Amino acid sequence: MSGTSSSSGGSANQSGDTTRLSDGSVSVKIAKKDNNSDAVSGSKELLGQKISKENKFKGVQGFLVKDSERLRATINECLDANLLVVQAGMIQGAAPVPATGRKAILPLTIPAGGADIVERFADDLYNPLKTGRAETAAGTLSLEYLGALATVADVVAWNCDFANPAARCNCGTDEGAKKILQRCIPSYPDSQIAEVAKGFAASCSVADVAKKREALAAFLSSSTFAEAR
Amino acid sequence: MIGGYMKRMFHRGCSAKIGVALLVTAMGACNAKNGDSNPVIVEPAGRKPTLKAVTQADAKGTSNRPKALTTQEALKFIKDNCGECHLPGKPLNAAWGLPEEDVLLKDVTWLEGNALSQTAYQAMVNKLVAMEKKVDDLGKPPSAMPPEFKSEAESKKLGGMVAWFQDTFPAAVKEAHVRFGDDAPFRAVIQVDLSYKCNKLVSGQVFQTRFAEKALGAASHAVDANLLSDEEKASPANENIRKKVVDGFLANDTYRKKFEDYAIGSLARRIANSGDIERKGASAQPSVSPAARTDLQQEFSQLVKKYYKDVSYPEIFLLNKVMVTSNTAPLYSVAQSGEDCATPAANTWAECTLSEKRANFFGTRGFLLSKPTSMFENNNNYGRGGDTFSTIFGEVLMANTDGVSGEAPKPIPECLNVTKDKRWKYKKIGEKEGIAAWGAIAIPFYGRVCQGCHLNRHLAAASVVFRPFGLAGEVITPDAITDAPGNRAPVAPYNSVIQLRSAPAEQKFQVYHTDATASVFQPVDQKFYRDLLEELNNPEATCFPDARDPQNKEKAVKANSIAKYAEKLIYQNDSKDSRVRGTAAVRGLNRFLPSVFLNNKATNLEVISAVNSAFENKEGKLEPMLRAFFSTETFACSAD
Repeated sequence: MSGTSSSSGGSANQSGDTTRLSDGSVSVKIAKKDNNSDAVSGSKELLGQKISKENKFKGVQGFLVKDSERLRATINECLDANLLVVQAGMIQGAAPVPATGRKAILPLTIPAGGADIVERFADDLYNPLKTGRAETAAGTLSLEYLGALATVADVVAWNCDFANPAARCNCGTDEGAKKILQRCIPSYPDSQIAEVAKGFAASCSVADVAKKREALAAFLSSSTFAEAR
Repeated sequence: MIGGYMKRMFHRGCSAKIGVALLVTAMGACNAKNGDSNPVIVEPAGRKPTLKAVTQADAKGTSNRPKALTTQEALKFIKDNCGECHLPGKPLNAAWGLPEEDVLLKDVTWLEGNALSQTAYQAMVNKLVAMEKKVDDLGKPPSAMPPEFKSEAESKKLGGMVAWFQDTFPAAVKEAHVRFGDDAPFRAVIQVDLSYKCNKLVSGQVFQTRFAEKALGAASHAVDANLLSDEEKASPANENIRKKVVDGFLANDTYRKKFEDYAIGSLARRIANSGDIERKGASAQPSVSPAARTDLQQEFSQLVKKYYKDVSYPEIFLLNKVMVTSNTAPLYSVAQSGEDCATPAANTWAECTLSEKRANFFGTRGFLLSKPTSMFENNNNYGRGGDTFSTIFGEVLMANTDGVSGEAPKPIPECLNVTKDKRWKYKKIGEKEGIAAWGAIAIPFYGRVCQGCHLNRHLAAASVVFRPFGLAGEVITPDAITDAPGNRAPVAPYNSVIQLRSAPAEQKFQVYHTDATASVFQPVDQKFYRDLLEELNNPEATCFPDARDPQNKEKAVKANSIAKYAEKLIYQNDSKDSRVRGTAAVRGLNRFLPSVFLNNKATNLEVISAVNSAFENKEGKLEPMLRAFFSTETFACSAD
């Protein structure tokens, strides 16, 4: 495919604008549909600008996106364990719990319990267990990948315990946000990460817990997080 | 006379598709298409398959791009024109599995995540171009599909179908273009970048992260280990920094365990092609339980993790050991194949010794199930031979079932011409007759191109030594091929497939074999197959002819088992006195490493040099070779 095209993907509350460049590379911007929150928009700008500068998916060499195994390991290691579990309250039809910012985010086709959310979307996330002997994998940031990643991000954010300041996924302070960025994208230079962390923390420290969850999900849906350096 | 029948046959219909797809997905028996309804026989002179690349522009036509079908129309098109062979329970579901009709027609979800979408798309593009060229096929993979339309009106929808695919799945279309766009049909995946040069190294910090992610599974290990100073983090990842990172991580027991799980585990799974155990083996009969299939995907990686420190990489393939779980141990029973694998506790692995028949990795259930075929099938174990070759050499042979056959064949080496497997498929439609090659010796008889893989890459020999194994890797003994009436296990489990092959002429799907004079056809029967199995009692059942003197029987290396076959492929002509044997397998490893860890199809001279050096100096062990690879500039190169 050549030329430029745009399309959107993602779960119920997010969209990813994907631009395919003439050289076959893909440029991605993750944005929130809900632009009412300045904090979130600010976060988007900061992350988005950095991301677009640092990440041009050229398809030259293979350090493009995390496959399903590495995505799971990364989330478990850089955030908390057990954040990938599918809970009943995530499924459409479940009543939202305003105090926790938790609302239904998954379609009815994804039942609660059982395999984690990465496992369920493993084929869209370049499942290395199904990659053939001479095939390469995880080579492009496909629309399927973006959609699956956004859903994984939503589940992680839903499970994050924002009431617990010690939770690793809690991005509500400058220090907490910085630690998340350092651990989840350790190739990012320390000198630049403080500025991004500030914006990230701002979006995570709002009173509305639902917005906190959106901010965390936005980061986890970004191409910076998806990239495997 | 066979010569009189020596015409290429191209056909339509589902029985035809059985032959086509199995052969296309496996290593290529030449010109083995066959079928039963509305067949078309094409005279050789009238049909010269084109080798021209099919490009996106070809697919779209010129300026008159067909109007794309709607999604509803497209899904119905797939059901109507592909369902006969690819729906669940149909013969080619394993090759490209369509879901049940209600799911298929509901939405495109099932097709979005389908790894074979790119192939399906290209098969339709090839058909479209073939129709424009008024030929049945383009003579390059994948075979033009569908081979037959439900009606003429359906055939006119194909352009719209391709347009729908382009609009709906641009990523799959791009992948198809990259994969098939400018390929010659006989290209093997042998890509070595001879002029590789890294223009810019990543920083030490990025290198540390890259190693943590690629070799240990998660980037955050780089933060936890923190092996580099601030200055080193900011500097280009030179040799010292690379060595410091690799050595530093592997000196720590925690990270070494992760290295085994991720680096060695993922490499071994890829080399074993374990994804195909589920993808292709799920529908193999007799069925293997889903839990066992899941465990079989780790069968080889568990073995490698156990032995990589003590046994050289090439020798791991030849170990007569297999790792089993409570789910897979019953697949290695005394009754089954002579093993006596004790069942370990749930969720644990135990080692078991393989019988002489299974011999080594290439006789394990995992390897065999990843390529479901048998002597009864059209593929006739060529796929297993091709997979053995690609496992060792790192070259995937391109199936060429329906392409050009090349110049007149060279004489078949005498030591290979021992087998009775000179099967052909015979066809008579109206006044026209034709045959297609099938048997181990029939295919090399067809042309020089066929001989390229079937003789020179030993697929003919593979067909012989893999004979005792069925679709699911079960052992087939002569006793299991009974003359008893009926088709059901355990009395006569293979009768149905044999009867299909030996059906009367009017059913238009026959298999005959000939005697040595190539002039007498006889229908195959149970005895024929029992005789094929009995051939393996002869130590000279098949052979590796001497390359410079192929007709000299004395110089040939004889084989009648997987053990001898695999040993010859891996050791080639390495002297027994060599310090380290098995350079062929390291050749393969050099090709797998960039694919698995760099997502690059091509290897390069730096990688080859570094890994070969480690192989020779470190007794062929896998870990030093991996350390050497991860320490290359290639692994530290920036994509910018």
